[in-house]
Amino acid sequence: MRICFYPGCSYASTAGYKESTEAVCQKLGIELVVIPDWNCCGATVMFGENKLRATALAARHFALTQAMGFEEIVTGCNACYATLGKAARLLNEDAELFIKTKDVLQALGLTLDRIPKIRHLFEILTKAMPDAPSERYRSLSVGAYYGCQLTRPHQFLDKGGYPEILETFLERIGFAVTDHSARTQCCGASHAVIYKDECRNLSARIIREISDKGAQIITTICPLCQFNLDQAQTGDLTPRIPVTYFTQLAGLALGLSATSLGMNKLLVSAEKVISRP
Amino acid sequence: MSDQTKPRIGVYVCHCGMNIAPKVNVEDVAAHAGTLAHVVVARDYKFMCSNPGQDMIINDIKSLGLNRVVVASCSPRMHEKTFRNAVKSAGLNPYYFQMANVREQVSWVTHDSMDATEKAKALTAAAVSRVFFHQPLSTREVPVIKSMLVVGGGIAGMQSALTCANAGYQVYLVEREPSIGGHMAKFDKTFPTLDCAACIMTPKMVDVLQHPNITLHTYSEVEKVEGFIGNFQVTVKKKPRYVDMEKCTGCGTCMEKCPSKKISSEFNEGLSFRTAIFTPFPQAVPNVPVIDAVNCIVLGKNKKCGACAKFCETKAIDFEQKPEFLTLDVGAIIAATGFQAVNPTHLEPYGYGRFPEVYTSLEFERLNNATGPTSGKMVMKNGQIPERVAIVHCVGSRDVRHKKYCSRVCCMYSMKFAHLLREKTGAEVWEFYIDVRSPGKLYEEFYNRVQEEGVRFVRGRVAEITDMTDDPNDKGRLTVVAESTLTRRTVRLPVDMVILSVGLEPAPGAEDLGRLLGVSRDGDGWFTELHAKLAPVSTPMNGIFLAGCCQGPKDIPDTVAQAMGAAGEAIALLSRGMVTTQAEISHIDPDLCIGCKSCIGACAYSAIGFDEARRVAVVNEALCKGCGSCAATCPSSSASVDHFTDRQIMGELERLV
Repeated sequence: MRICFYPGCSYASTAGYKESTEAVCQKLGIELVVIPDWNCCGATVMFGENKLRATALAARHFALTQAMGFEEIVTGCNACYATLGKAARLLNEDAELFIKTKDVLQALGLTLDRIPKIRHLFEILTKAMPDAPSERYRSLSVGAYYGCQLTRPHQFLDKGGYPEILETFLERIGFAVTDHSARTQCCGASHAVIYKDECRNLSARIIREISDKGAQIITTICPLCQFNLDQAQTGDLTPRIPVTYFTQLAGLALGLSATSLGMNKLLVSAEKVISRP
Repeated sequence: MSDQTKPRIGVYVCHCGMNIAPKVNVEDVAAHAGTLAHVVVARDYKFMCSNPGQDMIINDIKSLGLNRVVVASCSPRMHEKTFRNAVKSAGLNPYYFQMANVREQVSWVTHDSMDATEKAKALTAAAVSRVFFHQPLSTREVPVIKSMLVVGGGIAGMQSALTCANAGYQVYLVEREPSIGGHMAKFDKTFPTLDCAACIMTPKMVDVLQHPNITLHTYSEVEKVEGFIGNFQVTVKKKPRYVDMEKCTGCGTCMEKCPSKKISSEFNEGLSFRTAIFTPFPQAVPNVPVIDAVNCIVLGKNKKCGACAKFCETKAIDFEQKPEFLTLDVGAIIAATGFQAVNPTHLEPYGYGRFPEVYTSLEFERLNNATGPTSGKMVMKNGQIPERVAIVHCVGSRDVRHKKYCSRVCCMYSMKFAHLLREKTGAEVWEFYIDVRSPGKLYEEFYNRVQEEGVRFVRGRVAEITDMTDDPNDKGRLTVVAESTLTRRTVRLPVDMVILSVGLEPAPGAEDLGRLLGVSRDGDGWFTELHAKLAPVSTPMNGIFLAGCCQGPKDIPDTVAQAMGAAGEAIALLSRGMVTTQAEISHIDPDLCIGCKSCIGACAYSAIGFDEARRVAVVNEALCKGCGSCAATCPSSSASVDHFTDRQIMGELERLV
């Protein structure tokens, strides 16, 4: 299976999202075809600035995808997923915007005739992962953290406020899950750079909640969420609990080594938790 | 032109005060009409519908020998009847009249004055051309059946039934639940006067039961409605109670003996249990239990039990009961099917269903009620009295994602809860609101009163209710998260209990009943009244009236007033005793009919039958509404509607295209 992959800005530089995604995909026979010369999706910032520019920034990938002969774009980042999704929706709904965007792209030598479907990497792995490849982690309690943008504002994957798809996935591939109330609380996202203290409080609240409810490990589905939750634990606001990517847990379930999944890069080490679950 | 040799047409152009005249040059329109063939006189006047306006027409008919009249004014829905009556009083057949709508269709919707005048001229000319082909039509008077049906036994239906019964008419009251009483029977106190709902409600329920003119059919549903104004035939299905109403004394032994005791009580909003044989609440009317066939051991599980039958001294239990079908002949129908509260489960951020201390307003009504699950004690599930309670307004209401309309009652009942909580528990109460809406009599005073009682008000829609706490001392409590839009701060308030003031939506089954009655529903599912201001209890279906929340959210005072209004309309119809049948009905020419039956399938009113002997379709004039579906469907042009003949419509169109 070949998929057209849009990595997004944070993918390669995070604590093992790239390593684990590539390792798991390789194991499952999924070939990631990265969009050549991809650019930033614009995230939440651009739509506040200028609708046409924001749409064109995202739509450049739609044209590139079309040139590659794909019908879908897959991304592993919630912000990219929401932003590309928003651009796709606007282009489908607004014929005038579509024409203007086409003109912008034409100036770059690109052709846009059809809007691809936007998919999250999670959807691909949900379909591809076998049921409980290992029973080793059956008693490891995982707190699943969705972040704000996976199910909001679009509720394509699950209901907005209290989603359950990650829990279902984790139980199916051989983990225990912890019910908690921080699933879609905001971690502060990119504001963590400017409003460090405020955002650390937001992240700390999430960590405390998941830890209080009895989870031994947290798993996230977005590059920035992992980073924020992991680095918030460097002070004394929170207990220490490892924060992983869902791809890393999928890799562990498939029997891959923690190092090959980039887990040595986590700020709070997961070594103890996963060695004696 | 059957009875008159030559058409003599009078045209009258109305200024409608400032509604038509400033936009349309009415003098010009009248002058233009005066040049048309057969037009004898064309005038304009400030208000054609006024007495002098009507007299002008009447005098012209008499003095100038007019035999056709055209009025260019508002919509026929507004004043066609008025002008037909004027024409009639001058001795002319009222159908020798045609109206051109130059207000709604011209002056109100056209920017340019010249364009408006040209369009008004064209529409008036078309009406002149049409009226040329008009023919005299006659109506018949048919007697009205002097009884009526009320659907729904809540406070609206009960009030309508009592008013009509007191006027001396036979009333059938059909309620699908085992008891009458509706939502109001679940309440403890009512705003703003705080009188006890049971105290003002139960006597009415007993009145309904005992009234010699009211026949009560509980646990029954309307299955079919046929006929027309004054002459409806209604089929009612009486669901099997499995208890003989004649024999049962209401002693309650069966309920004590029933071993299936763990069934969620609908009346207590799932906060307590009931047995499989049950009355919904102690004051139920009639006080005869029903057996819930799904949960009964004998009926549902097909196993041996029969404890109720064994202990019933009057042998009232009858497991063999079957549904019964009744046919009721009535002259009028009042729909009073009420509402249901919005189920907030799908509003996940509010945690209803996940957090035990998040209640809906109806649940809290039961918690507050002496006959409720806690005997009226406002306690949490752990039995303790809450120290701090949050009340969240507009849950599911005033939200484009859910119900965009205001529920009209949630502000007031929320403040009633706040008052009762302060009074009974002394708890701190916080109201989270968008706007406080208290426009009724003594409502604003009540709002001021609860503020004086120390209830806190935060202006801001609640974002989230969570069990996440910032302070370890608050572990086990809930936190309400909202933006206080007055202080521009985020509020994170730890509380012990949350009440969701949920919105209102039409009762389940309203869609089916609407279809049976031929009453349309608006975009939100409420039944549509004939006119928002001037005919709020009537429907476009003659003889069918609306009462209470089935027409839109309203509180008890408004519901009772509307119920009496609907009863008044029904009484007016019944006491008039006769109804005039419609003149504009369909005819099928038996010489042209090819017997294809297309029209029978097209008729929404089942008004067309088939004469097997002659192999032709035949219209039942009493049932025909003159909609014209048959005429449009008929491949042999044998069906036509009086007053909408091809010749008349073509005459009108020729002037327009």
